Amino acid sequence: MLRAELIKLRRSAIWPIALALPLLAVTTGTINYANNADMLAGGWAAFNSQVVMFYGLLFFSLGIGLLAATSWRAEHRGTNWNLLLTTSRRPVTLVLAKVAATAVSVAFMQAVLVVGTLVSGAFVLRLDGGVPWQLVLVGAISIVAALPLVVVQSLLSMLLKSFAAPVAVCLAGCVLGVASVTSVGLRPLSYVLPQAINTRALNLGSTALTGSGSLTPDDVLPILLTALGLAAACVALGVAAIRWVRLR
Amino acid sequence: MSAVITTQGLTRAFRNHTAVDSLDLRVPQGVVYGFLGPNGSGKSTTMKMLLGLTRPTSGGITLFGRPLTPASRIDLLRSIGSMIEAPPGYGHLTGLENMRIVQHMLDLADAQIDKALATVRLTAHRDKLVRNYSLGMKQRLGVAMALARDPALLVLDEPTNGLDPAGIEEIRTLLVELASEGITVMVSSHLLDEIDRMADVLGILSGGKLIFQGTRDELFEHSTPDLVIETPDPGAALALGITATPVSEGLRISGITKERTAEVVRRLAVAGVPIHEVRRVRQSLEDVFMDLTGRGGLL
Repeated sequence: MLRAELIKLRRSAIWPIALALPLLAVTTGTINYANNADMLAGGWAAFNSQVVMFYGLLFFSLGIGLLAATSWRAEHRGTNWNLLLTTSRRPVTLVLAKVAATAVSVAFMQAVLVVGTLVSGAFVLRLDGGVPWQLVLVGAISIVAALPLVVVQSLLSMLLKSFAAPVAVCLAGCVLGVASVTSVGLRPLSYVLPQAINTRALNLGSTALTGSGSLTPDDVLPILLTALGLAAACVALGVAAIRWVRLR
Repeated sequence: MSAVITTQGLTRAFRNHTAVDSLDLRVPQGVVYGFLGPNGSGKSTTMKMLLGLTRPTSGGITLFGRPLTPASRIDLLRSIGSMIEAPPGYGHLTGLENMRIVQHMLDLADAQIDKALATVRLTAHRDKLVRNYSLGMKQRLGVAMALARDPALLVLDEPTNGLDPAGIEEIRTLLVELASEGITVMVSSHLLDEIDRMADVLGILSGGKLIFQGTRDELFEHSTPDLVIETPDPGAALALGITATPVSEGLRISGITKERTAEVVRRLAVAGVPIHEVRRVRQSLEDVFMDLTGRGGLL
């Protein structure tokens, strides 16, 4: 089933999205760092903070919303839903295959971000020091942290024929996410809101966001475990939705 | 002949109307079953219920002798190829890539994909993007997707929709060939001519109700064609009190039995009205269909 989903990614419109958003983050981060080099001490860490600041707050989560909506758009066209539902596969397999395929494109997006950051830091900004392994680790952690949002957006895009509606919901979540990671009062929300989990994961070890945590098991494990738990719960919800909504 | 599909009082009601009303279908094994009815008569809804895509409001479905339930559905679908409403397909992929999707979804062998493409004569176009396919090629790809699993039952909803006469003939020949190989084909259409030339058994739906089910011959037996009496003096015939419509050749009488025909002819002969010919009008399936729907069916 996953192989079928991976075939659907060929020549898909998801690739320009997965390429453009991280490149935009790297570009704005590079310009920001270059223009404020005097104030931003710390080389790679400071540069990375500039790259992931807006990416972690908005671009990454919004990108996931767009990727999921684009991926499901092909199923809403014509009668592809009938094809999916007459495959003799169980609904859980359908949901998991779609989530996994979307996660592949999210992983690609993260790879572009990490490679783009390294290339820009090394060759454009000519930063000192060795290649920071933390960048790669945060990139990998954020893929796992993104799973709840991948599942939620997949679920929304599966249920709603509209392309824009699930993306708008994702954007609203981003706004709430910003509020939750920046306000003490709303801080508890940042542990369960998928967009906020993304922001926290991407800012691990960052100097841009106060209280963003460091790359230690104490800070990383809660994020990963919450992400996996939430993702599993959302998959269960997705399976129930297929059974009761699509097959009514 | 054993039945592949049977339904018992199959009903699907929506808030404002009943789309399918107490359907008792019986689709025998190895035939082309023509499921006929005007647009909106409930054909697609019925087919969706047969595939478990829509749940019936009441009634039951038995496929291959097993009741269709949420638990049995997935197992039953392994033997059923289908195309509902329009052919599926991903336009940004080639025909072969679309078939590979079906292959991976169903764990099929390469040979099954090659065979399905060859059956619908798409092998030469398999590397072309589906968005560049003609409507006929898209329909054939849809049929190939349905055929790939080597189904025992093929459920096709309006497979000739939008095709030119050559495309219609091609699909028709294909379905007859498949039935000759033992595959049961249930095919719907709102165009009577299409069904007339390929179906062994007909089910006619009107307003959600099954108004006829049986062979073509049985259908024609139920219908009484108009009688034409060729006479140069229709006025004299009408003066005898015979209820008939004057036409250019003489008179036309609707719904008249064999016994009444003999009586009318006798009266005309006794009255000395010249009779050149007495014959039944040759009916098309369309005439029979209109006759049936006008009378509310035979079931």
